[in-house]
Amino acid sequence: MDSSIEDLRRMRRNRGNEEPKMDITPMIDVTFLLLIFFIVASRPDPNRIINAPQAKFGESIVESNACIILLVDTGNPDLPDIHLGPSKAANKLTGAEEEMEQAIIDYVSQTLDGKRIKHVLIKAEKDVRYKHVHFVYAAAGDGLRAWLGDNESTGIMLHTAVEEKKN
Amino acid sequence: MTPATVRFRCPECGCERLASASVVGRRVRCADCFNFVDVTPGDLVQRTDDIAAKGVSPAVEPRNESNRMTEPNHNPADEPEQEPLGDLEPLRPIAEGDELVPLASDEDAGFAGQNPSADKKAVDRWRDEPNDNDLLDEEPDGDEQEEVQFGGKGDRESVEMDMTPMVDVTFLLLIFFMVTANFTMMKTKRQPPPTSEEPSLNSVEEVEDDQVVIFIDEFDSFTVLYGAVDAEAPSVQELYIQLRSAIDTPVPPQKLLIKAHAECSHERVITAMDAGTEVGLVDVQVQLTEQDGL
Repeated sequence: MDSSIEDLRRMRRNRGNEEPKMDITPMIDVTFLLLIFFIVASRPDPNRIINAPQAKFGESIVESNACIILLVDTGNPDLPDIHLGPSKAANKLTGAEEEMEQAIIDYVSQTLDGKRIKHVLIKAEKDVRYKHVHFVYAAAGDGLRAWLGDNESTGIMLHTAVEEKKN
Repeated sequence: MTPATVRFRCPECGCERLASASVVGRRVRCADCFNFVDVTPGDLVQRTDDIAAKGVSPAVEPRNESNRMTEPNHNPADEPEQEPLGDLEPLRPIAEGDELVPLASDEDAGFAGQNPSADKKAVDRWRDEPNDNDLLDEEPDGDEQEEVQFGGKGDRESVEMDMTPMVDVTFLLLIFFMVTANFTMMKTKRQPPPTSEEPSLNSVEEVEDDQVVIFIDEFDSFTVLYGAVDAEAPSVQELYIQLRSAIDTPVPPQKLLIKAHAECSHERVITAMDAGTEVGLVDVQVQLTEQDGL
């Protein structure tokens, strides 16, 4: 009988401690994984954001293997900013049209030379006049020809960046 | 104040128990079999001072009677063995300072009413023993209070770290990055390198018969030319309509020539290229022109 009473007393003592507690450790683990994923997937560099035109069809290329030229709309349709690099903080072209053309040719030929560059990518914002895009396109083609010489069978292509349209 | 207790019988194990009058009408747990017992108001009430009085044994209730109450300070020698039920003291709640009568079964000599010294010994033994009646009360006993004050339970709880603020901050960060994440895929339109260093400004007359021509003027308006079709398409939707009607021929064309005005926007050229690819014109070329019309 004494043991029974002791059991009952133990039950009464433990009654307040038997509140069901949910183990939140797996939830915290998953939350941290999601947090790390979204931190890595987000783009913290505002200089890389380009308001590119949208298109349904396009192909994916590896940007690290591309020679990138940036055309940024400044609000003045006759004077977009041309950057030789993947970011708005890259080298900005100034001066006369001939100087800019020669700078693009030199940049493309030098970037293709000695590096594993497989593409020439022109990232132009959608509000830029097409004559400026064509100017860069033609200059980049000249730079590619200068690097190739007379050999045009390397498969290096010019690309224009677009944003995937979701329908 | 005279204490009052209630005697009840456990229906499971058959033993009789005493409990505080405050538990009348409530369910208590039997100390023997741990089953719940409903204590009814009609159960017997016994006075503690009857038991504690020297040489006086408490009134003896026959087992077959369930509703008996003793008078205060009564002498069992002067009273008849069985009292009428109408003289019973009414139930009252137990007060602080009242002394409870121990739970005892009929086998205990103290309740036999035959040996007063044995009754006294039984009461003294109950006082020395752990109080089983406390198990029937809902209030914690003195042992529990002692454990709360001096036990190590509080120390163990203070060691555990509260992770709630960390979880809150983590969720806030997660929501922030989920909202600000940009999953827009960057794709490209492939164009072959230009074969000539000169801009294609004078190639209007080189239009072949089997290619569709989209002219984009300086106002970003489209014009579709193919065979007998010469239709303006100011919007993208109309461009798709005109392109589909133009290629609706027995032998659909495969080539598309986009003649973009120098002042048209880059977005319109990409839109024309995308529309041509969607309707099935796989060979796309772009020419820059400074003419205001075809």
